[in-house]
Amino acid sequence: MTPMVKVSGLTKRYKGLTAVDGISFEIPRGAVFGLLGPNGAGKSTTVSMLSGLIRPDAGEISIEGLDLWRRPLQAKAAMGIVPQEIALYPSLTARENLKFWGRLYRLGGRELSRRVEEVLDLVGLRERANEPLEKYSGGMKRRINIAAGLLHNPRLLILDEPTVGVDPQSRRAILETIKELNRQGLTVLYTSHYMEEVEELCSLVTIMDRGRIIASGRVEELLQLVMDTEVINLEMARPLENGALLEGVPGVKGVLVEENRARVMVEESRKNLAPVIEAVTAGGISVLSVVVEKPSLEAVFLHLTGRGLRDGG
Amino acid sequence: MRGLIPFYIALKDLLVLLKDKKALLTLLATPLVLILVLGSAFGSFWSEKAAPSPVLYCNDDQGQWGAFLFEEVFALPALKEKFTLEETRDLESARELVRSGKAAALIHIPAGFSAALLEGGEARISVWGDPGSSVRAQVVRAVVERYALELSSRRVVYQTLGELGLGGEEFYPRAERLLEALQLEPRIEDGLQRTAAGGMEPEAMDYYAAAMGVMYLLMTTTTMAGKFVQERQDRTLARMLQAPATPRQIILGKFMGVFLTGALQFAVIILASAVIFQVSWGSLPGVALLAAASVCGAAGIGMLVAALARTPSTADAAGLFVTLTMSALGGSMYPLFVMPPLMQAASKVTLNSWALQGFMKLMFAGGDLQSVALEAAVLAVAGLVLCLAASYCLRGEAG
Ligand SMILES: Nc1ncnc2c1ncn2[C@@H]1O[C@H](COP(=O)(O)OP(=O)(O)O)[C@@H](O)[C@H]1O
Ligand SMILES: [Mg+2]
Repeated sequence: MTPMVKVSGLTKRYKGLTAVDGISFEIPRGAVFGLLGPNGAGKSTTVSMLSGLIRPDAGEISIEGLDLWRRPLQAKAAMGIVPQEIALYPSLTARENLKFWGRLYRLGGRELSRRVEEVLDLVGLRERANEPLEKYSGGMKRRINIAAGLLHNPRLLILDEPTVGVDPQSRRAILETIKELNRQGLTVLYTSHYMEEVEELCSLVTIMDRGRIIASGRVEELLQLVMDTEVINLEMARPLENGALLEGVPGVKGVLVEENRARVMVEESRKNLAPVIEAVTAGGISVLSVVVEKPSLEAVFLHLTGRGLRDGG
Repeated sequence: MRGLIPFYIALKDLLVLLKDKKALLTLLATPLVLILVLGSAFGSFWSEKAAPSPVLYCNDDQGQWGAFLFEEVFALPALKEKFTLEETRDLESARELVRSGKAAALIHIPAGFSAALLEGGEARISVWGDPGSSVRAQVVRAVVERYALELSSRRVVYQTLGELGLGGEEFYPRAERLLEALQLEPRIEDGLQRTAAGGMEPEAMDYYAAAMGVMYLLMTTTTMAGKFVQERQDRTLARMLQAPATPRQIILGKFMGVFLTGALQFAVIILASAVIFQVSWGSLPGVALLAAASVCGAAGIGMLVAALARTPSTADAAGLFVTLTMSALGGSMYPLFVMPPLMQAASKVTLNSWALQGFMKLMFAGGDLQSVALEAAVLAVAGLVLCLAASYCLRGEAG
């Protein structure tokens, strides 16, 4: 069976910067494919190319076996796009917005009305559908942003950081909706810089950094990379100026300092936890709390790049 | 469904504008208030009631058609009431009187005019207007133009009769009978009556209805330009380009949106000013044609602003600048006919000037569809050219 998406050698350059640098991947039908990477990694640029918005400088994209740039209308009709920005009309009501976007996806008449109500139910906003979007909370706008991408029953749904700036309740609702749609057979491409989301949602993960793919595979496979590494989260009375204090402590593979907190990657934490705390205290900083994390995709990223996901590059 | 995409985009743009209360107030209520205020304040430009300057004429023609203009046409009640005709033999000093504003206009019919009309030579009537080319001078010009038009239709008849070898003794009676049969006779009277009655006392209100209508038409289309750029910034334009629609359909939709909004706004101003202020816009087909052409021109300007501006605030600023400059130069603020000649010439690059020139013909000189054909053509062609330029600038939007 042809994969839903096949990308090879995809490249996009801006003046003096290669935003996406020759990446290749495949998304099998029915998968939830996670594109994980810090801000500026090139996720949105990749999505823009996949959705036919910007032309790549090199490389090929096929959607269900169709070359995107040769058959753009057919390929686009198969995709539902949920952009990173809330690309809707704030003065129009949710229903008016959805009707407009549905028409752009060639729906009309009764079918359009029916689908509008269905997606409103799906995102749980039918009761408030006649209010202008500018009265909505951030999370509600995000849900309509997603609903607009689902109107035409796409076979592939591409979501670009759909949970940014969303309250925990809306985030949960969004993740559950995506899971449910996937159970019904929808293929999903999900980009995020939240590793928890990607871990929860995605069967396949590709990690991007600075325009390149630095790792990809099933979540369990990636976690194998850091199986013997754990992250110790330290909270201290004052900031650790740098990681130098911890240099040479046995088992420490990397340190990430964030104000009063430090994330220390160590091998065999059970054995090496005590020396780490001792080293910090010896430097005259008192430790307020210690939490040891299970291996995570964040640790994978830290392991591969020496940087955190959230503080980007 | 696909072919309708531009239409849906245009409708959506209209809906977005209708929900924007502030924009609606600016684009609909403000011009009506300004028509009222300016129409009342600047009424003095039109009040030539005290001793209207005479219309001078010099008739060097020995035949019947020269004299007919002054003895019959200007003797029609509607014209006689308004114009004092004074004969002159000295063209030079007469022209000086017109130039200095002491006479409203000078009409000159050269020697051999009637003969030329009969024999097919060059038959020409000259009209000089005062420097401001006041409304009165325009009416005189319109009357003469219409007279010339009627004569040229006679000339066709004379020529045809001549070519058929029907000259000689019987020529005039035959020709006149034929003209009568063709019912050309009553039309002279009728047409001239209408021309003259069209607006001998042009209302300041009428002028400013057209002036503000055109100015706010520009304001509308450039506001739509701002909204277009906003759409680019808000990424909704990108989202449209991600849908299964071609960039061409989307750009066409945006064009249609600008045109539709402009047309609707202008129609509201025309209707509202007609109903509220009793503005008489003139011949309906003429107004419809000229209004549509003006909307086309204004849409072109709006689209070009949208294509060139990078941010909504530059688009708004550029739109306002273009609107105000064109309006000031093109007669929307200060009437065209009181501008010095140089300014009048310069105003020809503005949308306002062409549109107002046409609307004045319709309002004050009894003009119809044909009399505004030139203005409409200039506006429509300019609009199309600007739209093409804009779509050329926007062609890279998808990549
Ligand atoms: N239109 C553009 N012009 C110039 N640089 C751009 C443009 N779009 C994105 N970039 C740059 O490309 C890189 C990747 O951006 P993006 O794809 O938005 O990353 P992400 O979505 O992963 O945060 C960033 O460094 C960004 O600044
Ligand atoms: Mg992004």
